[in-house]
Amino acid sequence: MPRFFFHVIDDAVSQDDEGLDLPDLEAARAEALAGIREMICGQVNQGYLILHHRVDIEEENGGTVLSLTFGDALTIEP
Amino acid sequence: MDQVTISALLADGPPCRGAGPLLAKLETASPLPDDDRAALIALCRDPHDLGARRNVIREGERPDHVHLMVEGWAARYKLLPDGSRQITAFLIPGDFCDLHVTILGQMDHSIATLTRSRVAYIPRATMDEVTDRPRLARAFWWATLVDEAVLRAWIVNIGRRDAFEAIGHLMCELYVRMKNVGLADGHCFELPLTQEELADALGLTPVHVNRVLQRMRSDELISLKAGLLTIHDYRRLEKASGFNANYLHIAEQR
Repeated sequence: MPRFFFHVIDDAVSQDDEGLDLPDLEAARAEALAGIREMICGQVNQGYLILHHRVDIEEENGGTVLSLTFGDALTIEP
Repeated sequence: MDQVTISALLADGPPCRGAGPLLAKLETASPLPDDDRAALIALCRDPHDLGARRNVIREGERPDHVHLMVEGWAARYKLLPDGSRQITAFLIPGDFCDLHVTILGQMDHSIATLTRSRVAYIPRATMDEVTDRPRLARAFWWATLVDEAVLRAWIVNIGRRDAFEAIGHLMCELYVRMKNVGLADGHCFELPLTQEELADALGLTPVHVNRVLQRMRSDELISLKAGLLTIHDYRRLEKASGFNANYLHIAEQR
């Protein structure tokens, strides 16, 4: 299984140097979305939400393969 | 070694150095007399070598042995129908994996090693002999009650703390437990857990755990490198995570 690294870019840059072994990019995308949604909950619980915060997914030896903002993980309706 | 009795074990071979954590743990509450100590040392002789991420025992099994961690780390866990895993305890050297199965019979959860481990397989008959010793019976009861207290602390941790506090709380707990069995050097100890394993223990996602660990590093609270955790400012981490070691029932220590 390829290894994917999930770097969180919010008010700081959290470099992931451990990574997760996952079957494919689709699984990595699901993992990133789950993480983002959890971090969104943390923000919302403190009364704010910053939609441009993001997670960059890097594949081992492959560079950044996908970048997802917090906004990408939500459907917002008025 | 199924048929070997305590008396036979005591008669043969040098004491096993691997018994250190078990002795330290069970003497937390009160010191034990030499013959009880010898019985515990005998339990740790000839442990089995297990690789990392190997099942020690699975839900539904009716083990013939009680398993005791001599070296390495293991975890209790439940698998959910969707394949996800909740870790309900981390087991370190000196911890019994399944002391209760001599009474309850069937395992209601599974246990797997996290690292390369040495695990003692103690036959039920030997456990019966050991628990005939009143002070050891009391020490095992103490250990079981503390396990329950830890579980209560984990419920509070998962239910009521944010990710930063929950991870900090778990680190403080593991530090105090490792120190109590002689496996911490200053505020530094082996924490061979992946972000995924921390996440599975705390009901978090690995991505979020990574974020929190980085924040703790940049706050200069901890270093975590190659499975070695150093807590740079224990008081501050304790305060930030609302940690009070009282539930571990260990005399005051830092």
